[in-house]
Amino acid sequence: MPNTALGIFNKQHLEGQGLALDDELAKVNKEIYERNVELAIKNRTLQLIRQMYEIMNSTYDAEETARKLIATIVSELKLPKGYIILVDKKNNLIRFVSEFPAPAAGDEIFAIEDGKLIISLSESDNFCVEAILQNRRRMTNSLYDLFVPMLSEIRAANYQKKLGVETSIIYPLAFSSEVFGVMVLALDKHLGFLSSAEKDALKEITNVVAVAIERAQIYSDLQSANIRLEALDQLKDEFISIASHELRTPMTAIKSYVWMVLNRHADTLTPKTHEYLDRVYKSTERLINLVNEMLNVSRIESGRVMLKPAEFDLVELAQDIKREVQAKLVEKNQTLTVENTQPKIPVYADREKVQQVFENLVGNSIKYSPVDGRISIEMTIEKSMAKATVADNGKGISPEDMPKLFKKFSRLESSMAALPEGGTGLGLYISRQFVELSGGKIWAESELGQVTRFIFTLPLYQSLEAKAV
Amino acid sequence: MDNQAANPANKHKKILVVEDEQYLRDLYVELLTEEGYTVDFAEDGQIGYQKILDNIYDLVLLDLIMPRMPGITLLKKLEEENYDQKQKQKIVVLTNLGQENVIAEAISMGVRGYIIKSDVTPDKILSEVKYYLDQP
Repeated sequence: MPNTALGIFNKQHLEGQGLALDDELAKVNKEIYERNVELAIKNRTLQLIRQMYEIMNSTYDAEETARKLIATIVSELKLPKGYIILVDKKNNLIRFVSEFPAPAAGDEIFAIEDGKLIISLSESDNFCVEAILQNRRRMTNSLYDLFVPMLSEIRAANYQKKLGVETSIIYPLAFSSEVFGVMVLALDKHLGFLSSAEKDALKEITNVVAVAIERAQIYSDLQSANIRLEALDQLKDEFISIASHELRTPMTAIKSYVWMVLNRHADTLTPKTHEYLDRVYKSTERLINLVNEMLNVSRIESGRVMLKPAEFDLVELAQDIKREVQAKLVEKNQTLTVENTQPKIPVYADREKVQQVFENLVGNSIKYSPVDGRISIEMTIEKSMAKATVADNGKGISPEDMPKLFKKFSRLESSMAALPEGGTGLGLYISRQFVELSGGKIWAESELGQVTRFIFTLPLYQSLEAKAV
Repeated sequence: MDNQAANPANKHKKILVVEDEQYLRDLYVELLTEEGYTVDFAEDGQIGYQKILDNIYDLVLLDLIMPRMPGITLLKKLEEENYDQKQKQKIVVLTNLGQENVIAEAISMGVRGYIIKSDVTPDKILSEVKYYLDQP
């Protein structure tokens, strides 16, 4: 007769069928009976494991998971006692995090709720420590071995007697070979009374406990890492915001005073000093742009760009841009034409952001096309989107450079050498983000040595209305 | 280059510049004085707040980030004091880019508009000032 020391399986039910048959029949019957017992154990184990998975899915807190698991296991298997003990690596100790059932009022033993049951990992006489350090299952007939040196031998013995514990099995809880705790299951029988099916079942249960607790721990680690990262991200944002303000203040002063000299006191300058100061002015403008663009990038990347979309006329904006860059065009004797297939092209986007996109694209055209160059802005409606093309007859973009265009800080080799005033390498990256956030697309087309076209689309105001109907 | 001639009519327009950054404050005061305006200034929000309460200005250029009393705090205090809404419309916020939320907050508290300092040249500041003064 197989022993079913645990309550895993209903012994009485099968014993009730006790049959007195002849030897051969008895032998067959015994086999069937044993198989039945085995199946019943497997069935119960599966049910218990399903309950454990439900617990696993109900909480992401490691200690709560441990508490619920040990309560379920101990009550389902009708054990006198169970513990889960976890390693606290930082403090080099182990901590009893859950037990079931809880000690009664008169028991002379630490209740786990007190948080007092901690044992140093260097306590080599302790069986839990041993199981953890050696990553192997341990067994003992004395509860005292679990509590060394926190509890006297007499108290441990009294408690064990009261609980009716015969043997305690200490299972290491491991995940990818790192042991992070142990589960203690105390039995009211000697281990020898357990069938191999029952031993397997316990092993299986231990594995599920390990996975459940490890998962909860990973989750809470991730969560705290996330919180830390969010705080860091905010700190970075604040830093950039403050730093950019602090940088811009003196740069604004430099820019303004140089402007005063160049525009209000130009008569005091020689052509040479005028040229030098002009370079100071342009460099300061570039610095201010750089700071602004870094701030933009930082916001885009932390998802803090706030778009305020509204209806506006793209054609009117393009004409504003033309007026704005007039002085720069004159400087290089370039022309900018604005053409549109419709008198008005109402779009739904954040006007300021679209203005930045235009300024960037037209600014690039001015920078990269030669003296006497021709630049154009063409606007049309295509596939119920507004489409704007900024084209110039500059030296074009090589096919190798094409994929780099919209990436951060990826100024093209050819453009670097050619331009004394340089750029930030952020303009097109920011433009792409703004256009895409607005629901449009941006791309470039170029024939090397002939023409460069930057094209972007934006949602039309009407199409939005039509969608709403 | 020619210095723009001061408009004698500007004498009657009283402008307060609240700006903690000395170089910028000096520049704005000088520019506006050259233009013929009657110009007063404050080195921080605290002084600016007192001057706004004690005088009637046609225009106030108010910096936002300042020691002692930031621009937003100043506006909040004016609100608490039940400061005349119409007078509050004389306040134009001076700021740097990258403070959109603060600008929005200032606008919601009834200021007239804003000028982004690092974006504009001194003559643009003058034309903005003229624009705001010309509007009823």
